[in-house]
Amino acid sequence: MSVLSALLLCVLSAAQGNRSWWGEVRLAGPLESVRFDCGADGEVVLATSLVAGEETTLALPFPVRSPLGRDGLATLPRPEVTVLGAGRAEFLRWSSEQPSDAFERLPVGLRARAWPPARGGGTLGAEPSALLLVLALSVLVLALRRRPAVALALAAVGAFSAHALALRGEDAGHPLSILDLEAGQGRGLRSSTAGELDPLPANVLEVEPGRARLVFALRREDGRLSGTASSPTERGARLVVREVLAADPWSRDAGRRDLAQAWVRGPEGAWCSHGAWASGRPLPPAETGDGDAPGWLKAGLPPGRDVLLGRFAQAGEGWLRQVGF
Amino acid sequence: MSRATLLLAWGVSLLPLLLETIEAEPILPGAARAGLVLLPWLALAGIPSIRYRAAPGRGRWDSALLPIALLLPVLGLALGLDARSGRATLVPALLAVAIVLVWSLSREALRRGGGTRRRVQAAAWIALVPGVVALHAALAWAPPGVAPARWAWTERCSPLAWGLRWTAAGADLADAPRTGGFVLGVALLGLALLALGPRAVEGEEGA
Repeated sequence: MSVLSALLLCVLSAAQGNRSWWGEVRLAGPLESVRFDCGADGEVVLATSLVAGEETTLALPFPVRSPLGRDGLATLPRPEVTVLGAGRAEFLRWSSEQPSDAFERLPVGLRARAWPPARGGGTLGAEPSALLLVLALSVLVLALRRRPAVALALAAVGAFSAHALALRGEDAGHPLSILDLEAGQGRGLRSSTAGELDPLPANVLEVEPGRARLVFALRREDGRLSGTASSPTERGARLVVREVLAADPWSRDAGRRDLAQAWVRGPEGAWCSHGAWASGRPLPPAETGDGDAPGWLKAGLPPGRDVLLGRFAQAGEGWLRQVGF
Repeated sequence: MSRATLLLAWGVSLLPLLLETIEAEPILPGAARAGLVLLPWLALAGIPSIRYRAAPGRGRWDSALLPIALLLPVLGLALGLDARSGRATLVPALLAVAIVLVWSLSREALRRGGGTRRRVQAAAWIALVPGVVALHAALAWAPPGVAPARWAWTERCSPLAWGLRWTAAGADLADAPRTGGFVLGVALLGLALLALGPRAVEGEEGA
């Protein structure tokens, strides 16, 4: 059974796969814009300003799907090149060093940890209760229209309440960040999600759904490359950036950060909530109940090992998941 | 504002939040929700009326505050959703509410102040709200080089143009060019002074 699970994990991992493979191109001016069409996988649009006689070779990311990883790149069709200007552009070869190399060297267990479902990590739009509150307040304001001062005071209180209700929960459209660690590895994996990426990172890039067409809009100015990644044809597509951290950022040496909420699982499998955990302080005693850690955060963790889950106190830092705590 | 205009502005301002909840997709990805909510109020708060019938016993503040009271809960919800997605929109939103209040107050006060004052308010609204937007739509269609660059500063004279820019690009309202912002500020200040002046009170009493 475990062999089957491992095979399934490998297949799923390959199916989602990296969508940012670097290749080398040669450009000769005068050139304003170059488009590299990668078929159904997407395209790269590079804005540049090469003058006549200027020639350069540079590496660009391409949003191709390579189910066999870097070994399968050589079998992929080369991107079709269209230039705007009288110059030339040519795709030379796939780069010998890929940002995904460090990611591929991580243990499979660390690479394949569970993710929130596309819409499950939060909500988009208002909670129904907040909308109902706004509707009820509007009716009350209209009913009190002959006493506008009272109506205004009521509306102000209602605005604060609606604001507070809207702040509850986590926006599915808001970037989500997870720091995954495994004891003894000395490395970490930070995964971040967004609807689109600005700037485009030089890391492993995955997309959900995996079939989504990606567009890399790149700009080369003063020799520096910048750009964005988006999926304009796939509504609700989620881009996932996977960044391998050379050192464990949660180690005592690196300095731990405050957790707004911490959950611990013992080897026997029972979860305990420990509330907020300030850095430099001992782990607070377990609270009653088994805690309310999100299901996706707890899913698929290896049995028989200590696990620490946490939500960082600082906004935007996201979640912590450490096996072998 | 007439009851129909009030309900129209309120409904249009709530619609993006309602649709986003139903569709579970942003209506305009990247746009500030507070900007979407404020846009119809910026457009309609000062809309002039041809006929005017004063409600007995109601002052200019009474009528001017009602749009703000209807706007605030929807705006509070939009600001909360913006904050949840990491966007700080409170300061430009407060500025836009102040603009809505000035439009609304000037409309209510000046139309009570007699024909000339009512016409001043109507002309200001037509010039600043649809006028500037129409001018720039026309300039955008002109062949390159024909549209005079000296009209560019007028782009930010209209609160509606500010709202559109803020809503579409998520830019800060403070990004507006200084000349356009200055002209709009002077126009709104003038309207506010006219609306709060003693002649307007006399007109109100006579209405």
